[in-house]
Amino acid sequence: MNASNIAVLQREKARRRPGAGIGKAMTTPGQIVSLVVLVLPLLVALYMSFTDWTPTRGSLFQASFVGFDNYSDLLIYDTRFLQAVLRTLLISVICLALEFSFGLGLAVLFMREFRGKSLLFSAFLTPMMILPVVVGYIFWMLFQSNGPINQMLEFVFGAKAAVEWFRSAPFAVTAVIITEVWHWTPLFFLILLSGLNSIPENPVRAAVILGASPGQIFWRVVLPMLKPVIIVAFVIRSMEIIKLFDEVFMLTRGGPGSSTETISLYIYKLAFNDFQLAYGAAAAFLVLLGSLVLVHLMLAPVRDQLLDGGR
Amino acid sequence: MEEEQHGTIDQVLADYDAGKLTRRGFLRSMAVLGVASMVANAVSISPLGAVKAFAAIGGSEERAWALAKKAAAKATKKTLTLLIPTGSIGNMTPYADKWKNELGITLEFIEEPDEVVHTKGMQEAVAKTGRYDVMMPTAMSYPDWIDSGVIYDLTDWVDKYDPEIFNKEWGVVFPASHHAQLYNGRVAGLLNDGDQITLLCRSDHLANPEKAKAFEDKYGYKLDVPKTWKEYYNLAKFMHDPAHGFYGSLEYRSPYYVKWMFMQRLVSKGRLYFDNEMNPTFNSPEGVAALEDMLAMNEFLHPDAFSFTWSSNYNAFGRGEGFMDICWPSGFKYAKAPSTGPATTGKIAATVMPADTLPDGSLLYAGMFCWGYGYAVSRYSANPELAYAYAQWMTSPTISADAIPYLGGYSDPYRINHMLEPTKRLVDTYSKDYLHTLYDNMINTVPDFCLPGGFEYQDALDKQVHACMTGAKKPKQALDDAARSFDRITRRVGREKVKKSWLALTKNLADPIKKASGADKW
Amino acid sequence: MQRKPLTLVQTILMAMALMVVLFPIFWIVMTSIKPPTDWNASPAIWVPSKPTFVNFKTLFDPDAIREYGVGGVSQSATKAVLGSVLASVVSTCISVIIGLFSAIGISRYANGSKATPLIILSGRMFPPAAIAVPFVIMFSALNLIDSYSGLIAIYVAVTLPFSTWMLKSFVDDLPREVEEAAMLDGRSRIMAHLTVTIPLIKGGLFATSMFVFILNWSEFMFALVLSYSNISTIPVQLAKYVTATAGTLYGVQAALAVLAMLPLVIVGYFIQSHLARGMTFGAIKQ
Repeated sequence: MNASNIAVLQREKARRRPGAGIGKAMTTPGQIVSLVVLVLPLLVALYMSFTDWTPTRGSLFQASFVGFDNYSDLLIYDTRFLQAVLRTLLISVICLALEFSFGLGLAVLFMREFRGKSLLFSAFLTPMMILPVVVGYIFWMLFQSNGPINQMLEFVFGAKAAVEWFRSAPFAVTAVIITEVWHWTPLFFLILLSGLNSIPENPVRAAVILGASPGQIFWRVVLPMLKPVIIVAFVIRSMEIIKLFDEVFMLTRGGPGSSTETISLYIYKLAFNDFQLAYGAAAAFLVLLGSLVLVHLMLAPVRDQLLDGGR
Repeated sequence: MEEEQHGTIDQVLADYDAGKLTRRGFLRSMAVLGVASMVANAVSISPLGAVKAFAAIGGSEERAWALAKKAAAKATKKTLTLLIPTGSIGNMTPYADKWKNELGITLEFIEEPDEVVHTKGMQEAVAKTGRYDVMMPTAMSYPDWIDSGVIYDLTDWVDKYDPEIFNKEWGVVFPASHHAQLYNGRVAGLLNDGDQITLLCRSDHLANPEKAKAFEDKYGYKLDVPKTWKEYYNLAKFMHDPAHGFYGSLEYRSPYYVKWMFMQRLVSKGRLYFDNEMNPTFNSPEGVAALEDMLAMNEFLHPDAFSFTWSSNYNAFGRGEGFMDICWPSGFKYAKAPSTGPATTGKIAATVMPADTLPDGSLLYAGMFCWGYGYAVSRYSANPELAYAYAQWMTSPTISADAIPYLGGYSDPYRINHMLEPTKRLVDTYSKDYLHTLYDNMINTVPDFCLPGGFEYQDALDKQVHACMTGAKKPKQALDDAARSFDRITRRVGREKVKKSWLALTKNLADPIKKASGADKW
Repeated sequence: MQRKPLTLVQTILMAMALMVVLFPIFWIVMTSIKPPTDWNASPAIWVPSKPTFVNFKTLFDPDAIREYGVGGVSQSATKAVLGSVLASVVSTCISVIIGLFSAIGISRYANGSKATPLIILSGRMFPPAAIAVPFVIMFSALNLIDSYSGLIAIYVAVTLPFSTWMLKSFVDDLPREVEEAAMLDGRSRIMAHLTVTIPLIKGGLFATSMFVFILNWSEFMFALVLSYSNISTIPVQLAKYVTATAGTLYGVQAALAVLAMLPLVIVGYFIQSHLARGMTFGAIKQ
């Protein structure tokens, strides 16, 4: 870096500076909103998590400080919390795997040419447009013992095939997974299709010329190029699926027993049924911590892409 | 002026008792003297005699109305807002006009699903909006609501205005008078709904001679309503006829309800939920036996048992789909009325909850008082006195006898006079026999988890019992897991705090139950 | 590369996928037009023989709802629908406006550190149930409980990351030169943004607004926790119907569900080319 370059840079900086004030002004409202309505409650919740506060002990400021007791309670004694975490992770992994597979399959089909493509494209996107509560409600109806899913099972497999979906744990969990997969496969489909469409042709053409089979082209050329897109899709969905609440609330409320109780449902119960508010806050921060670690690991390869806005 | 009035009223009462007045004349005189027609009516037909009846039965209502008048005149907010569970409104709407016309107060009802009422109350404790004046929770909410300061301790008002809840002739039936209204000995709410579970049977099937003969041949005793849980099982098995859509019993296996089926059987076996040191006692041989009994019953239940709510359960019984139903008195009300019980009207034989045999061979009769709503006064109400007046007025011996029979709500009898000296409408709705059955069962009732943290306890138990019923866990494991959760809850809520409340609760139970569970020595 | 047509197997697979995707929607629409006698039929009725729109009417008629059986929710859906419209529209407008300025600020003036996006992302990872409690505390102090203002404030905060980042990616797509040309013309920076930048991202603005609207319309948990008696939204009302002790108002619930779905499906159709950008915070464009 010689003197003249530095001078050029300084002049550039000076030219840009007049706008800096405006820039600050423009971002300030957003920052204020985030601070007051996002950061402040988070701080209050953090403070809460170190107390033993429930409304039966007066106001928040009358509650006593208990240090990390809530956190240790959750991690050591609260089997229901740990089960909720594992259960949510298990359901998430299964759902994401299924959504990815179906989404990819559909996206690959859409690389072909056929009539009515745009109409079908809209149709396949519809499930993810529907409110989560409504999706949960729809499937609650579909999975009723006298509902159409049982009817279809009986039609295909005979009279004994009908299942009491909400009466046994494995079936209830299956119902939750089916609901979630139906709801969000379109997102994977959408993202993967965008990814597939933006793959440069030359590497693929080269592979064809070199005599690679379609299978090899797909696994060894296309998929690796799709990696950033796939990771983004997984990260985005993971963040949301860990908070799974609306659909399960409408489908099973966490039952039978607590076999479909996701983390969000358990925290909701802690906060709004038991009013163990401080304890619930601690649970939420544990979940936040876990999610942050998870997402950080998953995002590592594509951090910059996300930050720069996909360029 | 008051002296004179009383003098004249006393005279009319005495004359009526002595037979010197016809009923019509009596009512007319009372109206002239300014006595509310409802009171005069109740007094005129009361088997207690007019003098006694007026002196006390009318009293609670009169005092409440006087307070209401005073409070309404002072009120700046001319509405009284009530937080009530959905399905209960029918007992309260008939009086809206009277309050509007005579007091200028509009009754505003905010209905929430029943499992949300507790949450809304706790939220109000945090939010302090002052939105509600009267709140109608179950007794299980009282400890947390009192501790979090969202409702008033009513004891002072009770002392001053005397709603006669402990009266020997028309008070709330003991022990519900205590476990459904008090927290640590102080009044937290006024009971307005006698929610005890009783057993209903289809009397037409009992009277069937072929069935009677077949039953006696098979089991060696007469076909009749079951006295014990074993007999209950035999009956369910015998009457179960799924091919014709007729099931042995319509017992609940649904979340929130299934735990009561367990708790009922547990107390019948002479066990309560904790000992005097707050150690759980339900994961005992009696508890395991109770769960095993329930599992054995699963094959004789209605297919919807795992999703029953109280209304779908009542409807199923009313449609004639079951031989027996364990349900609240409102279930009897619905099954008796031709509109809601087309297949059961006139065909119900009811009995107290079955007994069980104690280790010493004697029979123990115990009942469950589960749910049971009551009126509480919000601490953030702008009109607490008016709210209290409403509570006392609606639950007074006279008004309550009038309110309960309305079909659009599920309020059930809870005062001694409802059951032992009922009005004609009460008899029409419930039948004299059933009202007596209610009394016989009520005196043996045990409360729900009416303790600090009560909702946490019941949820922990409910989840485990439900898991056991769906086959996910064995009985002993389910109960042990529940006991572990209970220990954690007790530790978090505060052992001494819960213990104090538990000991206060178990002090007021029927003697046989206290003896069987050891509570008489605590 | 020449795109090949579908093989027979692939066509069949596509058809099956289509049926799976559309069947639940078909079912709920059919249920919404079933007469009450068909609601809980066993076996279930797929297409009612006498379809009717009475369920939609009942939805807004409190007396009719009260008639439906013991324990039914005796509330009409009018307040919920109006509430949803109010809360969603207002919060969307505010969120998009604030997000727009933040987006320009970040895109053009590199304001906000590199950590900001990560902070915003982590905001999305916090279980809403727990953050609802501090809101309840804060709002009760400010008397915002059970008021639409409180709900709108939360909705704005929760969707701000989406509106900011989605709009930022649209602004990024616009070359700086366009604004600089306007400024050379003599306009001030602000005027340049107002008269040039914003009109040129009209399409993106529309897409972002619709996307944020979808998020707000669908929101459940905060509305559930913050609604007492004054406010209500459609998801809360639907949950009330379904969890009421008489959950068998099937036709009426379905009617509400259909009403809830309709705006979103329509809106989604119009912005579908921008959906990927919205869902991935601008990371992926179609």
